[in-house]
Amino acid sequence: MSQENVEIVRRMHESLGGGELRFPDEFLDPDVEWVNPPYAAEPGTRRGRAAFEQAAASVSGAFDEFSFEDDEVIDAGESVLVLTTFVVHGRGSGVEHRQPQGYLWKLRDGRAVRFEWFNSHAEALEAVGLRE
Amino acid sequence: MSRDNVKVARRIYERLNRGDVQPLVELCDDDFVMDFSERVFNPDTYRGHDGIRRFYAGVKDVWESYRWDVEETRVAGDSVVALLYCRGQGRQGGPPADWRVAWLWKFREGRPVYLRFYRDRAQALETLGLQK
Repeated sequence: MSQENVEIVRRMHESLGGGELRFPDEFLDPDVEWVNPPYAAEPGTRRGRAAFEQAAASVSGAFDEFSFEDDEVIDAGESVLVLTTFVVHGRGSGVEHRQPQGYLWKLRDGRAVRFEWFNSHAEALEAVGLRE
Repeated sequence: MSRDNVKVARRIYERLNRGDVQPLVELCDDDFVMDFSERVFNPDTYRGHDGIRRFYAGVKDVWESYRWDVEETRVAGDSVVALLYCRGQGRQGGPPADWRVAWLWKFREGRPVYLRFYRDRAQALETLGLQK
């Protein structure tokens, strides 16, 4: 099941990018959680698909275009960890900024039930008991 | 009078950029309304002096640093549209964000009584019958 989850997350991430952050509906559990870290612009946890999509829309609203590079997908037992570089362009300036980020996904029955993000690979790895 | 209103608005941004919200508090009566319901992060409406302070505290909480730079002002009667270039640096090394937005100020006898945030500058201008 763990490898299956890795493949699901990998496929889902491959579909992201452009100007809008949209996750495939069939991938999300109705009670899915989006967890922002304490240092996020909107810290805390959003629950349910609508709130999840609203959180994703906030990311889309903050940046003009974005993409994800150098994805490494790690089987972390009950979770799947994605280490990536979030490449964003400012809405007002168009200036590119590259931000290492980690995305921790928890799945149940082939659907995401929790998404948590971190602004560094080290922090994301630490969340699953690993080190860089 | 309309020129004075522009001066007042510009002075407010200068002081906000210096980390001083007090001039805005002092310039406004306690029925002042700030409609930021269209803002990307933490949309909200703020009322009165406490609302102004809450707005500013929210900005300080969310961003490591934040600037409002006035690129242009347009006047229609007792209203002023400030076309702003805003830059925020996320906390914990998060990606910077920037936007070109508009704040629409309404004045009464030289004092701001209402402020609305627009993501879309053209929409703010259209509200006052102005063109880009």
